[in-house]
Amino acid sequence: MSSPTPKRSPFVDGGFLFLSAIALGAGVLAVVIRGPSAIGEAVGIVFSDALFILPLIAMGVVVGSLFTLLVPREAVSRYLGQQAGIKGILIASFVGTVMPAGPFAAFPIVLALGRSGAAIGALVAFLTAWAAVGLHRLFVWELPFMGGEFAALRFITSLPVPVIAGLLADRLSNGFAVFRIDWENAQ
Amino acid sequence: MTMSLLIIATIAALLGVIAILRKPEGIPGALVDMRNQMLMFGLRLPPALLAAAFLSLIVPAEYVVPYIGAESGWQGVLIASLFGAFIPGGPILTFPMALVLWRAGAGEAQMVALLASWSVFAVHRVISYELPFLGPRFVLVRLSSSWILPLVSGFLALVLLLIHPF
Repeated sequence: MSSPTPKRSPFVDGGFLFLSAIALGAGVLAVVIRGPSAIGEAVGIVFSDALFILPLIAMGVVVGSLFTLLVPREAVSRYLGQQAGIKGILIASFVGTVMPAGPFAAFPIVLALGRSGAAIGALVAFLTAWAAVGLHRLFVWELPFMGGEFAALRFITSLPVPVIAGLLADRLSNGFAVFRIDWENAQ
Repeated sequence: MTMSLLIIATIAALLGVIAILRKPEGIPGALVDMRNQMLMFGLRLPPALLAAAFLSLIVPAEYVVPYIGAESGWQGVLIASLFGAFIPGGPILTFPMALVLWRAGAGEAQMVALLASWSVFAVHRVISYELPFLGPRFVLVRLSSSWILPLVSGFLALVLLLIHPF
């Protein structure tokens, strides 16, 4: 490949280089501590890991993309904006749990909803559910890396979490001026 | 593991059929989305897994088990929650590293707390998305109302494991 200044692949970016640098650093450390045989051992581990992790992640990606297609963003906004109080928090927790999108989609939704008057409790519940319960993350990451039983335990124990966060956020925001948000000047 | 693959492949197939029936016009876009994500993960995961493999060779169990092993109980849940709050990366780095701790003998409830803490605090996400989009006040409200959640998940896991060992 010696074509003059080819357009850089969007995939070989900072993230990839950062991870490669960490791998290199860890590799040097391992060779220093364990000797050169560490390289062969590590490559062996990577192959056996990749063999069962990668197919699962690929399937997780398929599920996530299809879900994004089937559950349009407008529907998410519609369900989130309508209710306040405990009902709003429960709905937001559910929507956040099933919403498959990445942060580039989730945060603009929250901003738009906040500006149009959604309750802070519902917004916090939504973000917490999306981040901490998230079915999408469960399928793409937890299941491949940690196995089905751990994924189930993690899922069950995180279910009450967004509801608690939403209730606390409402309480804080109603009780103390410091926690009240001026959406017009939020950024 | 093959069981997990079977289940998720079935879900994928079902969603695929629904998508073909209800939104055939959206399929090409979804395929492009899948390809992009798979390329991204396919490129980034090998170095992340390699880093984790090297680390798993040099992180000794005696550094992990006493602090966050299954026997470490609620103190272990506390330590894991604290530790998880400072993991500064996205899932591509975090899960291979979690695997290192897991294999070195970390307990299940403690891992639940660690991952819950990472997902609630998510330093990288706060800096690159939450602050710029929603502002410092929102971050303050969210963190004030959710800092306790990793402990809730961790303790819940301890109790569940007592009742029914997974």
